[in-house]
Amino acid sequence: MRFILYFILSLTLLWSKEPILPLEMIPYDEQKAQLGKELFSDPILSQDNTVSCATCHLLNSGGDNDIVFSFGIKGQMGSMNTPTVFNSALNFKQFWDGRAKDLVDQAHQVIENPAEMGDNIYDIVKRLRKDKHYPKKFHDIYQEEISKEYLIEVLVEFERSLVTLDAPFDLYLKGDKNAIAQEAKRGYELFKSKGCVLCHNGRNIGGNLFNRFGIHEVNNQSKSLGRYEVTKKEEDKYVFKVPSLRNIELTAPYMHDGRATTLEDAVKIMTDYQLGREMKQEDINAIVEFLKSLTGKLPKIIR
Amino acid sequence: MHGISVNHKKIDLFFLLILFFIVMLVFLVIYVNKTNRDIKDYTVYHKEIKNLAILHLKLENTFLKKYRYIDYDALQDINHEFQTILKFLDNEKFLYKFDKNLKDKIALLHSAYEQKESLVEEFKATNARLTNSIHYLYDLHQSIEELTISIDEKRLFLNIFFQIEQLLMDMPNDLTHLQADVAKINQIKQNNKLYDYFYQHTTLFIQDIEILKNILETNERLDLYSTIKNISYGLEQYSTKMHERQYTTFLYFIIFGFLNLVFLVFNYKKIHKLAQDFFTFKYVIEKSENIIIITDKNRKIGYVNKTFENKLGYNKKEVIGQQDSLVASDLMSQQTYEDINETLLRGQKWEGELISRKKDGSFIYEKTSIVPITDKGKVQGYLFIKFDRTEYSTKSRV
Repeated sequence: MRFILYFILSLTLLWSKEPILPLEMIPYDEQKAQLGKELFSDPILSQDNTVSCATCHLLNSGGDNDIVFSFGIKGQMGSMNTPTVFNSALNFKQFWDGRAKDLVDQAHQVIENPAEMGDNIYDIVKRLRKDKHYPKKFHDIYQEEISKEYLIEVLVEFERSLVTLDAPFDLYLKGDKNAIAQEAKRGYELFKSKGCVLCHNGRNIGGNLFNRFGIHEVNNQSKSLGRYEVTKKEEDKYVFKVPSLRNIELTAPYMHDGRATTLEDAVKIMTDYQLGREMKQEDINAIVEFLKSLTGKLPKIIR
Repeated sequence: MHGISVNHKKIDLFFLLILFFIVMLVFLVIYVNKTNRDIKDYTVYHKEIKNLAILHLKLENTFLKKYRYIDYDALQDINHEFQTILKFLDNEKFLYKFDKNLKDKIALLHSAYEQKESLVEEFKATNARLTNSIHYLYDLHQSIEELTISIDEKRLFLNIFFQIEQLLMDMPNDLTHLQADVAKINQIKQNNKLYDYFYQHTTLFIQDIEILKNILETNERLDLYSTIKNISYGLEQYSTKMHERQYTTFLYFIIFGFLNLVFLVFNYKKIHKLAQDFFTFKYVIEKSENIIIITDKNRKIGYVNKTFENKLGYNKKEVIGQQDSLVASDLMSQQTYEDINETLLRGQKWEGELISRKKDGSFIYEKTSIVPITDKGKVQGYLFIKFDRTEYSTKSRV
């Protein structure tokens, strides 16, 4: 009898598992992260000293910027909407087309991209070694001269510290039933029952899957071919990384090309293109309410 | 006879055997150390390969989850772990150690994994589309039921649903029938948006099922597992060889060690016999009527026998290390001593009569012969053999 009781109990526990998990802190080295934070906002990392990481990833504005495409060195305009740096350590791949397998790879590519920071990492290392205060800071951590590995490591360590904890929805998941409004709760139920959760799930509510943009709307008018640029496989045309929905309220405009300016537009495009279904306005509003509950606290390191 | 010649061998056998044994021991220590390191490396490496096999199984499980919800985060963790292990395995320290083809095999492993990883991604994406379509089709079914539609149309929808359910149950199914039914929907949809969505999703569903089937077939052909198994097999061969080599080495060590022991026993027996002979000689010398003194090449006393003690009144301990002139007396002319010195320095034997002084100051008349002990022509010491003639001498003088 008791066995059956336990069995049923464990089954209910299994069933009660939500497809979205609250964020947890990633362990990081404070000293390295602090140095990374400094470099993150220093244009010394770009070829002509005009652009820093923080030029596009505004730390007080959701970890991205409010424009459709960002500008690199010499005023060059990018071709993709800047993704947020917040919680990026949790993404399974980096960039919209997933061409970087991790943050180390990502930092390398941005620094060396001629349209972004346009520099050679060895030149940056040379420049940093001649700088007034960086050599000492690196030496304090590594007891060695600045190297490209150390430079990337401190930047990545900073990015790892950018986890936005305690979003109202996370608190709700942790048991605080009043952390989010009734409408947001209804939005979450719709999010699960209408199929959104099939792509946006896990701790980062996305960022762990590729899928085609425009599953039900082939005429998606995307200039970027997405993952096709990396793999050159026909089936990868218009395939992008499913982005995280955390802090989405702060990261407008939306989509890889920034085509949606409001959350409502974004949800509409998604239901149309991805889910291939009609949704009532009140349901869309509820989902938007749910999405707004995903905004976490600013990471401690930049507070 | 000019002197006693002793023949010392430069290196004796005993020393040689001990040296050999020490060399063997040093070799063994180094070898055991190296083997120990090899075993450790092998164990770590092999364990990681085993882990890869397990992770591969976990990846493989994903392909069983069609039409189901997949935990992408868990999959991400598996992939991350797999990549970490791959990085560890691709280490110059090991690549040339276990298997001369290991570098190529690891390169193969890399590419096989990349193929698997991208196939898993395709599977995830396709499965997400399929599950979404299933989601929506159920939703639509409800809405369409609520519409007033003809019996025929109702039957058509039911039929399509039945076939989709069969697909979900993995029943072998000919898709042409379903495709034909879906085409009929296209004909009757007119301007009904719900019919349009239904048609869109079922068409896409059928397409994605084909894609999924292709993915699963491609997966069958991927050789990630065989690559892992191949590496594991190479490692196991290395391990077998390593054990055989160890066994042979230890066997050699035991054989040589045993031979060494046998030689040492023979050597001991020889030395034992020599020692016995030595004791016999020593006994003879001790009990001899003659006074016997042995000195080193500087004529410092190294040995005196019992008769010396008795006749001259000295204790052995008192004279060992003293110059032989200890017992010289002023009764002998300086000329005699110089003669002795000269003769001995030439390496020749000296014979004659000497008067020595005892400890108590009285004199002793001795018939003396002094023999240099040489080794390869070099003087090593001197042997004094003296016979007490005091009685005769004093008598004859009287």
